Amino acid sequence: MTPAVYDAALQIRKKLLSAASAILELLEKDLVYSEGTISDGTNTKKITIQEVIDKMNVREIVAAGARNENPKGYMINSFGAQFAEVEVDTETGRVTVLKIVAAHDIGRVINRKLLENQFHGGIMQGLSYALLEERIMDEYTGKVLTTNLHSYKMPTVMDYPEIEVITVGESDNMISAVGAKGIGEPAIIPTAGAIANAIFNATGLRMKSLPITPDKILNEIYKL
Amino acid sequence: MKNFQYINPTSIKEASNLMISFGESALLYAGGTDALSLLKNDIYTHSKIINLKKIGGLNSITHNKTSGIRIGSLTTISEIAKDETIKSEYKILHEAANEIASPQLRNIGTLGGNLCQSPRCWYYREDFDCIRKGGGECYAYEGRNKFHCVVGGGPCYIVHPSDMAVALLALDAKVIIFSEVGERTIPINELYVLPSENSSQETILKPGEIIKEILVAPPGQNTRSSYIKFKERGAWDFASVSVGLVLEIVAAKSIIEGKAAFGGVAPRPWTDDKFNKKLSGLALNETSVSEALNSLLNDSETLSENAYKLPLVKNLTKRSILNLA
Repeated sequence: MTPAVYDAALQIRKKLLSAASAILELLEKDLVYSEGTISDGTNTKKITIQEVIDKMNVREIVAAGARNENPKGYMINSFGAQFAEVEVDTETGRVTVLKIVAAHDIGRVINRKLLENQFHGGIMQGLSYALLEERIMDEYTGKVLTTNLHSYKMPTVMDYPEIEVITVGESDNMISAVGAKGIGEPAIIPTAGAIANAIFNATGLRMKSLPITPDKILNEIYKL
Repeated sequence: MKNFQYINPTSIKEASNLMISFGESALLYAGGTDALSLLKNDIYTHSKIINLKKIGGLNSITHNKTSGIRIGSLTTISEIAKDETIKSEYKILHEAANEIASPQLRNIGTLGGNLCQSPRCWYYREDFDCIRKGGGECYAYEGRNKFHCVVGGGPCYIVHPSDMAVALLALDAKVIIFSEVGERTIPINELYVLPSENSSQETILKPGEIIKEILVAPPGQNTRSSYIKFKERGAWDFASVSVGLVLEIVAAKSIIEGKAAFGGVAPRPWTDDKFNKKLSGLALNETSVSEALNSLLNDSETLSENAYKLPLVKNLTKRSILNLA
């Protein structure tokens, strides 16, 4: 989305400069746009954006931006690796995720805080996919039995592990003008696999269906 | 959700009379955390909702060194969880209260409501005409039953969802029941029924009968207690299995006598009398405790997806006993 917003912002900048050029009676190419003001570069002639818009007699300026096609012959992929540290209580079957380390190549980091929140959200979805969320259906009637948030279980704050986010890779201007890749969904993808592998590493049990709930672990341990 | 009339009696006698005059259309309503969702989902279709919260004098905890504690049925779960005397002398009640639902629900839910809540069986709560709703079949028996009972089932296979009931059963609490003919006091063990006795309600309460107070005797000098609840997630979940334990322990070496009560295993809060007998004189080490646990719930009948509850209940009980040593 960022490249599309960037594209739209450039178009609006161009419209403002074009209007300012007529007002200030200067060529567009000689104008300098800085911090809400358009000037001739020496501040002899200048005008604020607010004044430009007043003179244009519009309430808003609208532009539609688009993300351009990917460059030909150049692959754009998000790469990532995640590591899970889990504790498996072999007497109860309970899996506690202690820590997730997520290292992803996401290109340029534009807003660190938001980026980390995207990771946390994705990882918690992955953790929930691994351990909790399950649509349980009655096989004889085809009716879903888990139609509310008490039976369709999502994680609570008590299920939150420590999460460490590592960004690798750099801004790549071949991708787009902003040089960033996506992270919303890529952060979800490796989490369940990492947790299942950590369970295997801890217990020797290969759990082959999700979610890995305590009953499944106990069924394996006690061969029920 | 059907339309209903919301009635606000100000005395327990008035509430009881209303219940009798309205018969089956009346529903007692305290915190409403369970009742409201059942009304919204048309599982309950009562047309007269009798709000109990305007009745005074039933929302306090009183302590007495010789007779123990009295807890009014309208006391919230939060108030029980926060009570300092309960925390120090009845650890099992404190721990059970803290395990219930979420802080918001504990602030609204009452003790009486917790003891009288409806089962969480998904067939009961969803659109199935099951035995508990007057139908002819328990869909869980051959259906999806990982949370259903392993003992005491048939013809319906629910588990009773109350944490407080398990803790109070381990404590041998007494229940004071108000009715039009006067008050009576029964052991909490006699409050609950199995589906084989009555498959449409969980308690013996009849129209006009309302739980007024709960009494718990004072703990002995050597009493130790705990409540362990196993949930699939860290908070806000019903018990897969829970264990309430009250033990008289001498010199941390052996148990004089004890009582264990279990949640999540049966259609009512459950005790295994043979196991409780074995607790008397039991040495507090892993070998003896494991041996005593071998026969726990020997009369169980597991369903297709709930056999895991047997090792779970044994392991939790072992952990619970050894933690109290």
